[in-house]
Amino acid sequence: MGKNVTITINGKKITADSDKTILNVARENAIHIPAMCYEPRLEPHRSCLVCSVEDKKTNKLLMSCAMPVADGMEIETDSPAALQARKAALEFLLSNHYADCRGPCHTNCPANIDIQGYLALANVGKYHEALQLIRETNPMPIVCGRVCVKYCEANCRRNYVDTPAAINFVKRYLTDLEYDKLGKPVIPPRNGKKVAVIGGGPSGLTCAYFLTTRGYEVTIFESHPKLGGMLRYGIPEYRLAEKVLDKEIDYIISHGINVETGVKIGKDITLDDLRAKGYNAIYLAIGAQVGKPMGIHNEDSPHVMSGVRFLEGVKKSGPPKLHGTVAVVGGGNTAIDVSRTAVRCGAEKVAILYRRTLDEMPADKEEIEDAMEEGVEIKLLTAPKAVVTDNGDLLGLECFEMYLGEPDSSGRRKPLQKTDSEFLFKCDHIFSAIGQDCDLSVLENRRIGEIKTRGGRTIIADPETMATNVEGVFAGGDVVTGPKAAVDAIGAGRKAALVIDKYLSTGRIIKIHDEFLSSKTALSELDTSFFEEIAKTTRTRMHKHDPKERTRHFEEVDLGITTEEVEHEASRCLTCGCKTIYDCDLKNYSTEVGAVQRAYRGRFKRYKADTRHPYVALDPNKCILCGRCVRYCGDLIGIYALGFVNRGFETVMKPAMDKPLAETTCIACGNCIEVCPTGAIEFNSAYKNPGVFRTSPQRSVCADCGVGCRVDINSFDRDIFYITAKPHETYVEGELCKKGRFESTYLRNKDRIQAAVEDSKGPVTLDEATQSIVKNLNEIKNRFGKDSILFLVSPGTPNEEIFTFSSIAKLFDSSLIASAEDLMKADFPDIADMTGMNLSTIKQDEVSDADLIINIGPGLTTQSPVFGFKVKRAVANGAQFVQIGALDDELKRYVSTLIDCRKGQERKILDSIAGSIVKDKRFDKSASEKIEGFKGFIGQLKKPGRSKFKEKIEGLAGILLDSSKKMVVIYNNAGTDNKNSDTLNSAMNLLLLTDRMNRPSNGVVITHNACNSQGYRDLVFGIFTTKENLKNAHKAIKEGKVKAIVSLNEDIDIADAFSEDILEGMEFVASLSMFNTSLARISKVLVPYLPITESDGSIVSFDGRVLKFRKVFNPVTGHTNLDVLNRILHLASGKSYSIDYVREQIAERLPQYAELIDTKKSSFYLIDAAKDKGLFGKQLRFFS
Amino acid sequence: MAKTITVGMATCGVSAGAEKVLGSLKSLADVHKHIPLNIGTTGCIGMCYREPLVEINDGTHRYLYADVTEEKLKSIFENHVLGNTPVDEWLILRDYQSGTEFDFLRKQAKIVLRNCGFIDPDSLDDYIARDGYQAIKKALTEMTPEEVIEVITKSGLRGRGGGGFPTGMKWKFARQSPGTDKYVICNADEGDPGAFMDRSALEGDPHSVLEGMMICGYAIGASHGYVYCRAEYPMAVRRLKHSIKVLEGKNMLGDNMFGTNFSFHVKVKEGAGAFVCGEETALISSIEGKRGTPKVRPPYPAVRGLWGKPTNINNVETFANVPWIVLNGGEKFAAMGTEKSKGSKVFAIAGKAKRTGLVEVPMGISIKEIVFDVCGGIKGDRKFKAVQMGGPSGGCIPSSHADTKIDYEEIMKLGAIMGSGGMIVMDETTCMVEMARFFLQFTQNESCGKCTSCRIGTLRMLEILERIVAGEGREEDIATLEHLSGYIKQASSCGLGLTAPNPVLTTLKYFREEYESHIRDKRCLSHSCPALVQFLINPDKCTGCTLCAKGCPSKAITGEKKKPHLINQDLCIKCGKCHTTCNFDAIYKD
Repeated sequence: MGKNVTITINGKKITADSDKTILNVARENAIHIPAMCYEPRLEPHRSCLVCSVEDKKTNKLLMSCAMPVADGMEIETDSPAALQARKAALEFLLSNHYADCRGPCHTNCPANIDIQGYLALANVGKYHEALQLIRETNPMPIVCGRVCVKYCEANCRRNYVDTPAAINFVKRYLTDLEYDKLGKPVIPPRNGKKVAVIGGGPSGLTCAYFLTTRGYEVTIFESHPKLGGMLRYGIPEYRLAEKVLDKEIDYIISHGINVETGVKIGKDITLDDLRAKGYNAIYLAIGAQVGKPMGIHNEDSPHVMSGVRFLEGVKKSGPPKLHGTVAVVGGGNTAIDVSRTAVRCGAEKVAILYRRTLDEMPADKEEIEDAMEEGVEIKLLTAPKAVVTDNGDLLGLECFEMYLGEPDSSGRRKPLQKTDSEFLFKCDHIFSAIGQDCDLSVLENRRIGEIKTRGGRTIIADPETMATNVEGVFAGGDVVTGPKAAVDAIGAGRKAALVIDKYLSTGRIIKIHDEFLSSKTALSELDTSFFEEIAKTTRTRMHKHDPKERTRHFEEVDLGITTEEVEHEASRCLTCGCKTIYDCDLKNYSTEVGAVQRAYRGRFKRYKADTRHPYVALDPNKCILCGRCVRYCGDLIGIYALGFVNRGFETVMKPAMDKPLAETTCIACGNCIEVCPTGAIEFNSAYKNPGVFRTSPQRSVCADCGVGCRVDINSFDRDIFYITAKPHETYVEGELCKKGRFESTYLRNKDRIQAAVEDSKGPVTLDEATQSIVKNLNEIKNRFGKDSILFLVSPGTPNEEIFTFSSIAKLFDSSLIASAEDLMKADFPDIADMTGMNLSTIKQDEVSDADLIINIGPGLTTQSPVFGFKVKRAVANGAQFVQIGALDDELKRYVSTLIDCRKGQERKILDSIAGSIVKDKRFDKSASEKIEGFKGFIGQLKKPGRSKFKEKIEGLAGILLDSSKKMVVIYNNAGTDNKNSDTLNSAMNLLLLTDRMNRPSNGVVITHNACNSQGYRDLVFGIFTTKENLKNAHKAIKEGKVKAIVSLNEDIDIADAFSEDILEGMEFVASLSMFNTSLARISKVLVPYLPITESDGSIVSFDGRVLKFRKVFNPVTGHTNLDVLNRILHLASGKSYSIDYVREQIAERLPQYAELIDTKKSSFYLIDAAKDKGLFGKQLRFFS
Repeated sequence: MAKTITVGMATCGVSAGAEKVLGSLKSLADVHKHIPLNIGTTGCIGMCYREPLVEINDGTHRYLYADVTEEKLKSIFENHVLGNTPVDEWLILRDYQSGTEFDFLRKQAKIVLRNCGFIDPDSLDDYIARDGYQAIKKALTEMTPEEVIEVITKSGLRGRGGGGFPTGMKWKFARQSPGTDKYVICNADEGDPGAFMDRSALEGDPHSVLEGMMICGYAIGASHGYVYCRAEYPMAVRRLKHSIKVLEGKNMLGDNMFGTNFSFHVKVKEGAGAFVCGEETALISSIEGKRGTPKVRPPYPAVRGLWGKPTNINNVETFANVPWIVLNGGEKFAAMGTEKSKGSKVFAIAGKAKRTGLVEVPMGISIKEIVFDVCGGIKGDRKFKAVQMGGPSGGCIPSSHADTKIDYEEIMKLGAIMGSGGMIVMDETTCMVEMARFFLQFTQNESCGKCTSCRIGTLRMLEILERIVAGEGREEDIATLEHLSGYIKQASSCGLGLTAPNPVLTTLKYFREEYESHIRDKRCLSHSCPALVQFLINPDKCTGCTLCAKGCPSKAITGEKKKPHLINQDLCIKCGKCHTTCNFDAIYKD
């Protein structure tokens, strides 16, 4: 502790400890300072420079993560200088960040669809979720799935490999399959504000949708009889059937949008009227629906019609009968639509006249192919000159032949007339399709202000905010941009809605703040060599109606693709976007300060990612060299799998000697993923297509060993989740091991038992299964009497379930309750008769202050890795590490004294230490001789004699004689080799002998390998049965007195516990089991058992920490484990226990479990040894 | 009396051919066995520009010969050694009191280099003969550690590694740090381009550095010392190790040295050549076997240094001053120099000066005096433009400020730093933008890669300078350089990053017009940047000898014999070969 100093941060006066850094103090006071290289568990690194703040007193820039607070500092975290510095640091980092936040499909989609995300979902069959993801930013997926111009596919990186992923086909599949299952819309409460949307096309509908779902009362005014705009009146039926369009529009409208059709603004009602009626904002989205004139001689002839008017007529009045030859002028999608519609109207010949060549044609290539298949002829390099008539009869169109000159401003080669090339194209109908204009008569008769236009052609609106020059009036879509695609209009409608929402809630017109997106192309041209390694695949073709047949009607031509093809296309996604997009600090902070990636362009590094590790993916391209992973892996857990290679700008984070991570010392704990502030270290996903899954965290506990780690299950749903452990409370260090982070795959395992089965009947309901269990058990009890049924329970079972299960045992008159492991060895290690409780005498964390750590037996680092990390840290901080018995490889570099005695000799070693202490002249027995059994104990002690470990033993005795040295003994109960109760008792004796009980950081830690071994022992042997009964059970089984087994979650291989003939002798076996274990296979009744994530409950860590947890996922069977146990209980006794009742019962009998019913109680049931003699101390005695 | 012949065998001498000279000398001596001769070697006396140097001491006078070759040696041997007639032609100093090169020594004041060039560095006796190890004896027997620190504090000695932190205060902090295990580290990781002060001191007089360390160890209460010496200084490493071994053998180092209670051990640790390991926290990491990157301070090494223990780090030159101060008293040292900069300073002079080598001058001498009086002015009598002080971390001082005194604060005021003693003299042909680019490239290459500002920021600055000298500078570049410099100077965590922009900032300050003409006019005012230079032929001077055309590798020069030639600028690759071959000075750069 330093001294107290007073500083101000952002004007707030704070008194703080001078040993703390500015960043620490700020965060303690809930003041946000961004930082990336800062990691609370490590020494300050001060390398990223993002945490810069300004001291206004000295006008100096300080790095808050490393600078201790000093009296009188006047810190401003966001002063202009601090922000500029922070921005510079971020922009430097970004200038060498060759990585994409999002793929080009997303960044080029006007509707901002999370394309990679929905393809990933589609790939794992989550079609409904995929559709919902699309609809978050685009409420018109049906329309887009059919008629989108697909900027995504045009920009798809798969183009560099072969052909783009058929993104839009997948979208169409999703809408065809799932649209009807969207469910009834939830209409939010109205906020009292009204918005008028003029125009019911895609832009107006989208804007109305996003405003309505935000609580506004929205009315769409539409001049046509029906909504849809150009979607309805400009796109032919065979591409977008009206009934499909209606489905989409009806669903949008059903969110509570008012619609007034047949109302023409400017004529029937004016903008002034709308203002007067109380509309707080107006969105003009009237599109561009008037065909552009060709500007040629005789164009006003009645034989000439604009293509869009022709298409509208077909929609409104049905297809006319066309004869002879039809000439269509233009090269865009409208020209194609008109020509294919003309074919369907019976024209003998349809020709598109286009002034450039096929390469320049703006129409969709696939559409052009479709048209040609349907017999449409395309006359290229042909431009109209005049409409030729004879006495009112159309002779044809006089045309020029053209050739291509130099590229013009659009980048396309300019068409030029060949001299004297005029010729007459004979035809009977002429449709012009060279573009559309807007009808701005909507702006007439209004006084609210002169809305500025571009010469009366389009409305001028800010491209970012959609605001016109008139307050409260916004405009978007074709009426602003001129004719563009539906998806552009949708994008504009959404943007307008978001701006209008901000405007109406704040009164200000604010640009929708764009998130920062890193992109490789911001640094340079893409390195396409990367794509050479990717295997080429074939793009799925759309299934279509036969060309010959389809021209006879207006039915939809496209038929969709198959489920297999969806999977194929989704797998073709190269997942260009980053998986860490939702929690990348670099991205978030860059957004915060408005950093620009190209601000400092220059040399940058490109690396190859290492994805060969089964769990961890390294991508140095994304690394900012903060060193958190390197320092964590080395300094905190002593593994040193990662390091910095090279120096200066060439520095790269990776394993030494260019090894793949998988071939290093890596123990796959994945903590590097956790500490990485960017996506440089990510989960090497278990999912088919890693996608960008937007997950949300839910607190739970790790169900593996007894360390008792809190975890966050970051889930998209029950199938897709990642396990992390961000630090969120003082005890939890936010670290996990391989088992907890990666190997809990059973949580989502498809092989889990999903339904109850009864031997004779096959699948049964839960009711039937429980009835059968109770019936059978009653019979057994009645036939064979007391203790004829064995109740097997796994120590990995939550307390509440153990309690209920044990209560059931009582009902059936059985005191034979145990885990299979205890059954196999009834004499399990126990210090209860020495201390009063069979429990670690100190907390795990106390190991950090120990001077001497004695570890007994192997396997600590594999069985309880996270506790192993703590031990290693304690040793790195100066504790001596003594190993008695075989040494774990991982601990080799830490051991200071190795007593590698034979298995079973550990007790002798410990006793020799005690003997050596007792014989020492300096030994002060005044404290220990007061403890019961002292004389008996020391009477039997011997000196080490001629042991080859004599010197080491005497050395240790010497240390223990110094009472200031703190000693922790780790009795590794989890290690399978080490089950000798005597050893544990000898360790306890040593503690008692040297007066080390009930002193901080002095004690024994007993590890367990199941997540609730401690709770199981406390409950079963503390409430329901005794160790004596356990021995009886052992005997009863051997003697064949046990006639039935009921097992709760016991997954031990049954053949290890019981011989075959014993099992054959069983009258009845019932199991609640997660998997098809050997016990499950011989069960007459089998009931699915659910993992911790699917139930509420509590477990107890091996140092006595009560960890309550809530269910993360709904039970896959619809019933929790407690539900099932309660049914059995109810059938047997008429009673059932609520979880609260069970917890009260436990807390009443075991006061140390008060945490279960009182959240204010500490989660430790160990009482701080420094303050109190604690749970231990009342009945201490030596073991002999 | 037997003559003593001594050959300068420091790295500068060896690289100039001193080994051959020594070899010849020995064979000549063999031939003339009847003549009693003492043949010895010594370190660098500072006149690197005249090596190999050979001194003949006849017992009454000392004669120093320069630029000695095997041929010359033969003649000197015959005339002077055998014939007792000095060869005046090659004689540059007589008794170090007169001679053609006496000007070089006239204004020097040698404390650090007091023995260099005068003793055999491997000879403990030589060192002892010049009051060696008297200071440590005095400290151990007559002074308390506090008194030692007091003497050092009084002397006003400041860290000669460049930081200029008062040495006495540094020692005091280390002494006050609790704990019994403390360390003394001698920083011999000299890395500035063109600087070789520490190398010469270690090669020429290792004992004075070791003695300084011992005194420090006694003063702060440390019993262990490390010399962190770059492995590129093999001779220094060898001499240090040899000296340590000799001392240990005589109980002058180790447990209970000199029969006192004081124990001190020294190890030599060779660095792998990372420039940043000269930074004290990076140096400590390197000794500990870790990646040599700077650490966050505080805690300072005086509190938590090597292996987590209190540690005092000084550089070679600082330690070499210490025995002299202890023997002569702090006041005597403080009498020399300016108000805040006391004693003397060693400089390694490089560049365009006539005399380049090692000088030790009193603090307070002006730059002009160093360049013109000590170093004899500029080669070819071209115009003196500036000196670069402090290597890549320092800055330039233009000739207009040549009156500036050698004083930590005065130099810092100009934007440069005293540094460890590198001084590069530049004339009118040096392009200051290119000079800044050169130094920035050095720091960029030597960045450890930890801090964003240094790892990426200096690279971005370098890229700008690269394009300016390539004639592709943009109007906004100067503003960007200034903005980046300002940021990097505030944000970096160690001296390397913090000072990296200095060469750019000082050249921008004093030679801004050179940047502007590169960017706007695409011209290099010093005619030195290849991309911005044209080689032209002055027709008035060209005699049409065709020599240039024959030598041109890109066949860019044409012309008839005996008529002025022409250079085709499209073909010219600006190698400058014609410029150097022309015998008539007809080819010029523009």
